[in-house]
Order: sequence, then structure tokens, then C-alpha cells
Amino acid sequence: MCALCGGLIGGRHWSDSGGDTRSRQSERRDRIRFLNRVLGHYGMEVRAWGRDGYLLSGRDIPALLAENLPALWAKVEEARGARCTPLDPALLAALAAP
Amino acid sequence: MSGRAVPDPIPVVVLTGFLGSGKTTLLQRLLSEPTLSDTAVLVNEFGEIGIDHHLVQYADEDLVMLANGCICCTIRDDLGKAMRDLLERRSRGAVPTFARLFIETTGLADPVPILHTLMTEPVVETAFRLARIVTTADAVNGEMHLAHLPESAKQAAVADRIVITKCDLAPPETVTRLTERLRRLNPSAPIVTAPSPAFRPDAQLGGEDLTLDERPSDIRAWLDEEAYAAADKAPHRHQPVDVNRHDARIAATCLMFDESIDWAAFSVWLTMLLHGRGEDVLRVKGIVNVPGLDGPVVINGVQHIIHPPLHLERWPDDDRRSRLVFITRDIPRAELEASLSAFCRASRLAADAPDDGRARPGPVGAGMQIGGRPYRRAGGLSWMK
Repeated sequence: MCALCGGLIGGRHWSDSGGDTRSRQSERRDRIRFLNRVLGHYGMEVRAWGRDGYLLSGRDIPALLAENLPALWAKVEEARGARCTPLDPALLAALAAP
Repeated sequence: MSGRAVPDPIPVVVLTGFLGSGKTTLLQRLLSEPTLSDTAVLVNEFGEIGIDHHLVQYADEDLVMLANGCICCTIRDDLGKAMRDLLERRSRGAVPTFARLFIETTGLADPVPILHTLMTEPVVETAFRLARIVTTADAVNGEMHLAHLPESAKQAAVADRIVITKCDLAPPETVTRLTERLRRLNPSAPIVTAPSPAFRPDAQLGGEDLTLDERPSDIRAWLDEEAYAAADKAPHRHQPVDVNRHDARIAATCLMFDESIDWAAFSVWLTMLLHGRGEDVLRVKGIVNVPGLDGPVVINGVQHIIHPPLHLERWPDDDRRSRLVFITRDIPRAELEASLSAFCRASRLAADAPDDGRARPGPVGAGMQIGGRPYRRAGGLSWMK
């Protein structure tokens, strides 16, 4: 555990395929780009934070740090004040828009 | 420099089952099998039957009693501690070297915290690996338990193998009905009945492990998507759900995708699903065709716990479709399929979008707030300067 930011050191989330540095960076770039497509529906966006973390921000919310993907969803719900699931028809409709 | 070889993780078999379904009896029989003599056992001190004196004496060297009555989330520290103690006793020779570990849970135990402990406890996660979950269901009361006890339905849903016990005490039609209900809950878990001439307990709880990374051909047996596809087409799917029957809310289903699935979209989708509906995703496993990889990525999870995915070097056959099987509660198949399909389509749109730099670390600096507090870049302590 990192005493500064609370992030896990060494622990890898299952979604990190664990390739070399270049492929991990590429994978992370793809994931953040896709996350921003999903989070745009909620008026939020993320940026990379540290090695594995995310910095969540939005127009009416304070910036929030999340150490990995599951933590990010918890922060998104905290910021929204409501549950978010990928089964939400409104989200799916938003994703279908070009 | 001489390096010490890292020992292979010790396989763990979790023995769970319905109240009064004969787990302890099965365990007693197992421990009398010569082929399983090098087995350590963790049991609950206050299980519904309790391990009897004969077994305690017989297996004394291999037995670590847990202080609390139930291996569930409230005491999973005890389970982790008991496993570490077992390792420590083994390393100093206080107990014989053992080749595998059985963990017997109480009939009311939720097996998921046990899996969580196995995969996250320091020391435990490197020294042990989950081999399989075996669930016992008794023929006499099994249907009643499935209908009214959520734990029983979950135990059946997460099982890798199911043993129906006390079949000599129930009419054959009752055994058949229970078998069908268990098959609906968990289509790919082999179901055996006991007592029967063909039943060999050592083969159920011991036996060879599937090694998907070494033998990709094992995937077909492990995934058994045909069984899930058959469950999708079963007549009961088209009948109204009996809301008074807990297991009627649980369904097994198989999703297949002809096109490859972008890993970013899949990981975002599954983490979001497990965060929002993890309690209702009792089991997920499958193989995913990820662009750019020679072989499939193997996914295996129970509720919110996902094993580290395996990257296979090659496909087991010519079928390159992604196949995902789910056991869910109150999540219709159509919703799952529509959702993952939408995420896959969106990933293709996102891939065409320009890189706006948000994927690169920073910029975070003075004047910004994080969590409502001003951000300050970490610096050395003042007295050090």
C-alpha cells in the first residue's frame, strides 16, 4: 500500500493483461479512451493517475482518485449518488450514438 | 547465486453443501481413501454435525480447528490465519507434508468469502490455489433448501462438481427432479449420486485438475457451453418465474460472439457489471477472442472475484468465437447480451476517436482540488531541507 495515495504497490488488477511496459501503456490508453466514452454519459471523464490509477472529474463534482477500475466505479457512483450498471438502457442508447 | 525453486501452490478443494447433506460423512470416507492420505483438512469447530471424535483422532496431525463456527466473511481472517499456521507447522515439521487441502464449510456458509480469502490473503494466495468447489445436496431435502435458502442455491451455482447424497432415502423421481433443478442452476458441473456403486469419493474431491494453460483441449470440458446453450432453450425458461422459489430466479446462460472483443471494452464492461450487479452474477467463465492475440483469454470468476485471466498460446480447435457462460440472478439473458454487444460496438467507435491526451498521467497540479481538498504536490519534510 502506498502511504501517499493509498494505491496498491505490486498488486495487479485482473483487467491488466500484464504485458511489457509498452503494451501496458497502450492497453491503458485504450481503456481510458473507452472509459471516457462511457463516463461521458454521466458528464464525467477520467485521466491516468500514477501507474494504475484514475483521476475522475466532472463539471459539478470534485476531482476524485481511484486506484483501479473497481474503485473507479465506486467513485463514479459516489459522484452521481446513484448506482451505475452496464445494463442501463439509457447508457446503452448513449453508447450507440456516433 | 543459488536460487530456491518456488514450490507449486498446494491445491485446495472447498467442500460446501446444504445443511445436513452429509459433507462430514463424505469427508470421513475421503480421509479413509489411501490415495488421499496426504491431505490436510480445515473444518469448522461448530459445524452442523461437527467432525466426530474418530476423525479428529484419525486426522489429528492434519487438522486445524477454526475458532469460530462459520467460515464466512466475518471470520475469514481466521481462515487465512489457519492456513498460514498450517504452512508454518508444515515447514517446521510439526505436521507431515501434505499434497492438498480440503476446507469444509458449514451448510449455511457463503462460499464466496472463502474464495476471496484464498485469492487475496498474503502468503495464502501464493502458497495455495483453488482446485475446485464441491457441493453436496441431499436428495431428501435438497429441493426445499434450493427453494428457500439463498445460500444453497449459491452453493450449487458456484460448484465445479455436485454430489447428491442420501439417494437411498428418497424416491427415484425426487432424485431426478433435484438433478434437473441443479442442472438448470449449473449446467456444466458434473452431478453424481451417492450412494451408488459407481460413486468414488476420491475421484470427486481428489482427481486430476484441469490444466487449461497446458492442455487447451480441456477447455471444452471446462466450459461446456453446449450445456448452457441447452439450458437457454429449456422449456422452463418460457414459463412464469415462481417468485417464492429462490432458485427460480437464478438462470444459466451462454453468450457467443462471432467477432473478436476489444479487451478495453470487455474489462470496462465486466468491472462495471460486477460492481453494480456482482451479487447477482454468481458465476462467469469463458474464453474471449481478443484482437492481436494468438490464443483466447480465459475468464473465470465467482461474483465479484475474478481469477487472473489465462492467456492461452493457441485455440483448442478451429472455433474462434468468444464464449461466455453466466449464472445470474434476476438478470435476463437478453439484457446481458445487448449490453456487452453495445459496449463492443462502442469500442469500435472509440478506437476511431483522436487521442486527446487524457490517457497520459497528469496534468495535476497547484490550484486543483482532489476530493474537495486543495492538491499539494508531495515534497520533503521541512526539517530535511
